[in-house]
Amino acid sequence: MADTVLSIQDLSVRIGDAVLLQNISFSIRTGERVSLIGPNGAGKTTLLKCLTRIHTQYTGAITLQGIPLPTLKQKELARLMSWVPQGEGDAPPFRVEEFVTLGRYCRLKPFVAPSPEDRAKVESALTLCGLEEFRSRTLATLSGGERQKVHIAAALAQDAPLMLLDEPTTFLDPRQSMEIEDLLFELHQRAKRTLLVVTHDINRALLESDRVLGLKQGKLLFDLPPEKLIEGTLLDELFDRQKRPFIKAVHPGLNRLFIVPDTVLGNLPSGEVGL
Amino acid sequence: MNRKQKVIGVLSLLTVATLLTAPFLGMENIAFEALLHPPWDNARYLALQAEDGRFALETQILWTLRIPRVLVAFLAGSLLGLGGMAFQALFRNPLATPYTLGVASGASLGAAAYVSFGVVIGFMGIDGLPLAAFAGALLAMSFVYGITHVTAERRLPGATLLLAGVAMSFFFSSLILLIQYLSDFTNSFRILRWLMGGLEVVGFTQVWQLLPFALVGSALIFSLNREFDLLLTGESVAMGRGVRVDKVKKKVFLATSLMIGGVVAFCGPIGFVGMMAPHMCRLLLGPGHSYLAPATFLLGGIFLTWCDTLARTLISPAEMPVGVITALLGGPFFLWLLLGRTRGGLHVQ
Repeated sequence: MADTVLSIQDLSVRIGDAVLLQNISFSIRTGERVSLIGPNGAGKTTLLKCLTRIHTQYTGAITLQGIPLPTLKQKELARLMSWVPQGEGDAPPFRVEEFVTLGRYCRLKPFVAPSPEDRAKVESALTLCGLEEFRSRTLATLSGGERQKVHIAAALAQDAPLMLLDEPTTFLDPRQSMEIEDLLFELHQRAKRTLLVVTHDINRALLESDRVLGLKQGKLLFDLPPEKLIEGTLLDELFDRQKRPFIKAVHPGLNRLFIVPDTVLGNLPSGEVGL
Repeated sequence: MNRKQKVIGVLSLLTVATLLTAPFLGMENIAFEALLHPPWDNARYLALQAEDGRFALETQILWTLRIPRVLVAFLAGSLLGLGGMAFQALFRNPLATPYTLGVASGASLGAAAYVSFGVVIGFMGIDGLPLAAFAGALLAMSFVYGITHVTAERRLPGATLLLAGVAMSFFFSSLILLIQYLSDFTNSFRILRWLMGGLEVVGFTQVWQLLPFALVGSALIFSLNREFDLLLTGESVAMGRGVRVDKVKKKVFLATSLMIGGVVAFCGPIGFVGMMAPHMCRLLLGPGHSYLAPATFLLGGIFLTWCDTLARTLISPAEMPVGVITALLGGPFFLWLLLGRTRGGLHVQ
């Protein structure tokens, strides 16, 4: 299929006796925003490591735009897929603009300075992420949320058809995490980027994704559009909430599902609640 | 011209000034004119000697002792600086240099073994001594490589690598001591004197011998500027941007082994240049390696050339080992880096 960006077939990862991933298959088409959710230890990080080739001991096939992952050169891979790591660790010693320009690495010829086109891509990435005024600041002087935006901008400058994001809001306070979510919304809706987002924010996943993947104990429990998750108990099953299921509600404006933990509204009957 | 280009410009001028003045300074200051009378042509030299014996001697000193020595000192400083810069970027740690991680000790062990066992071998016109030092450096480097794999796998902190380097230095040093102990008195003294670091260069042979190590090593390092920048953002991020991290590591290890092996063979294990030069350049220029690498090359060379000039003038007519001077300056600098989290970008993890 021409518009399939990423395709994963029967991916399994075993380390010793432990099965970290078991027969995972899914694909992502151009322009989609897909969220990957699941409890800790479900294998989300392992899956990302396979995609970024940090982990190479797996069975099954991963293809990017029809090309098998192991046959890609590192730079070719970077031109097809960019990824935004979890915001953690020390800030690299660069200024924002320098750091974003490093995102163009896979497009640059060795020993040749960045072209006007490279500069333009860096500019548009800075603009899209609202970082113009930060361009001369060093990363160490930025807040966690701003730093995350810089990472996203660098991945944008890479100009790859698919962007992976690993828990982009995990270490942020609510305001900064909302800013990042807004940015992702912009990227998907306006800039028409294809996104695979690993997240613990189930509501955002349900409200804004085209599809939600549920990963549990190394298996793909579901691969459904959010509206399909309103029926059945898959979400409850994913997080072992069968005894006290999530309360599911439909957002009236967006006609999208979201969930409320039952501990909030403990005594209300479970199931669908209209607002 | 922006600020960074100005810094490179100033360093280039200083380099020219250094290379033009240092050879004339020493126990005997030599007149500039001596430069115009290289003593290669026997007839001309004899004529000059008949005319002015003292001046003829000066041309001899300048051309067979001072100029080669200054060239070797400059090259050695440049290579030590580049090696330090490469290690600091690779390990994201300003204290990680070939010297602190035991690579220089490995090279010393190779060289000491060669001196002591007295086997004379050569390869394609290159003396066996630098090759033995190169082999020793590679050996130490493979240990460093192994240790980085273990620290990465077990997610050990950056300090582990440094401590492992210290342990390795001790290990190699004790092997060197053993070799020294087993050697006869002459060799033992030669090894000891050479371990202090020094540049007793006579003639241009050593310059030509050092050159292939310098050219291949520094060309490799200069070709990796962008990769070094990306490595500073973290290995996995660098991979995501398209850097073949493992290949870069191997290139750096090979290049550094060549450079350090070459330098150690001819000048002994001179410490701290590899740590100071890149760090000072980083304070001036920031972390980007397209400017940092040439600046480090120049400053390392300038720095060691002047240290050596001091070494041969301070207590003249005697000479101090240059390693003593760099260590006297470098020790406090090391402490300053270790204790203060500096604003140069890199800091101890």
